[in-house]
Amino acid sequence: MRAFARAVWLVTQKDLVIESRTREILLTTVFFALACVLVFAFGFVHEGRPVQDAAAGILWIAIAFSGTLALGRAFERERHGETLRALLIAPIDRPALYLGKLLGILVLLAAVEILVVPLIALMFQAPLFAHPLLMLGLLAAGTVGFAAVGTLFAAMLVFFDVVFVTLALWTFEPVMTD
Amino acid sequence: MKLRILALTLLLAAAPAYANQQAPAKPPTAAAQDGFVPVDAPLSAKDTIPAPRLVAIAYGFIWVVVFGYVVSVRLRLSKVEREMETVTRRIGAGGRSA
Amino acid sequence: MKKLFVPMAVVAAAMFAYAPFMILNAPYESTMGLVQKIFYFHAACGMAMFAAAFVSGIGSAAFLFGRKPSADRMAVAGAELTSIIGLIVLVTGPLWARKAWGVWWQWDARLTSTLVMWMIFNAYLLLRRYGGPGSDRLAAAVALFGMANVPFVYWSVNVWRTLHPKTSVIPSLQPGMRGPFWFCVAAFLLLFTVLLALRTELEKRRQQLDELYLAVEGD
Repeated sequence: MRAFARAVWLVTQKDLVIESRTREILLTTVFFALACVLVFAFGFVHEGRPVQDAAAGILWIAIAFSGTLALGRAFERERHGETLRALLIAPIDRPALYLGKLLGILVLLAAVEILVVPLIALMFQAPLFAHPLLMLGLLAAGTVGFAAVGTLFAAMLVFFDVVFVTLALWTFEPVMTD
Repeated sequence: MKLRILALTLLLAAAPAYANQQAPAKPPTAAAQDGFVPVDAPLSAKDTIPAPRLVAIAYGFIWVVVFGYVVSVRLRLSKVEREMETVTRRIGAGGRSA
Repeated sequence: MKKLFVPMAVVAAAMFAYAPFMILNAPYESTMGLVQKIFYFHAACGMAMFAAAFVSGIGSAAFLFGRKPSADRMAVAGAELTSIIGLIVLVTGPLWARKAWGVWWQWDARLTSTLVMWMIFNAYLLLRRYGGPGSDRLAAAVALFGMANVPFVYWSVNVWRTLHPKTSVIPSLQPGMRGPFWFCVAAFLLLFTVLLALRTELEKRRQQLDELYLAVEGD
């Protein structure tokens, strides 16, 4: 059990160290989320006032879109560095590999959400602290669910060229039919 | 008009108890869009949204960002210079042998 | 420029230390009160942001059409400063709006167009950083596009119905407010020049380092 946890942590740590050196996924994901918010502002704001309760929808779409981007990039990096095979032949359990990748992506998405959630609340005048615990729980559950499905499919699709299209299909479908 | 605003402002400043009973939220109508009108005293000390805190945060933020940026550029500069020194030394020592 | 750098930095620092006292002595605005004093830095930063965007855009144009590395250095430095100063504008603005309008953010023409412009220059920086080889020319086009936004941002308040104060605020400033405001504008433009020089120097060093590496690799 301890060996398993250690393997998970090693995989996560590897991803986080790479990310902390380049900050590529974090910065591009935050930027993409902001761009999403901006585009939706053009659609959902009339006469300077946002449509009632638009903030929640905009938040989830921003998280889902930018999350897909982050997932794709996280595995694209492995493919680009040709390290995926190295990971696969490493003497660790496959579930540990999956969990490690998942944890790394969750940390990234959490960092993005810490920035984006308050920003959307401010910009669309949503009451951020109306139900803090409920909101935190929903955010955590939604993000974990999205990342759990997304990591699995991103890993499966990493050798295909159409990774983004199919990834979007597979990850959004469970989210939408929830 | 200016005098009336001034008088009203002074009245509000002098009687905070009275000011408290006023409806706190003014409609967000065009707050001085065409020109700013100066008065001698701030509007009223007791308000629902504390202006001094907002102003302090704004100024503090500017100082932090400017200082942070200068420090960041200096750090990057010294890093590049250190790297340059190593590379120059390597060239001096004869190509890629180092 | 190098000789001027230290005196300019000292003057900019002194002006920054003195600016709060001038602002403190400026009269209060009749409807907004104390919070309107954010204006002195907010609008001055806005001007410095426009200046930075112009430097980046013009540098990019010179780089695109003239292929001068020095123009590219200016463009990078200008874009980074647009992003940094733009962040100040975009944070101080909502702090003022919270009190003056009752909301942090309003999707009106000025605020939205400023955000768009800021995002364009952030896109430039991301492109330069992660775009790989050849991204410098593509990025230069992005910066040109960003610069084209400046007049749009500036006039947006006069064309559309917005909550944001119009551009007529500044020429109509009363004497007590005019002095501190232009002092702050001068301070910010000076600060911008100093930071631009500093950042361009960094970019120059980076290019020299790249050339050194090429020389090592070429051996």
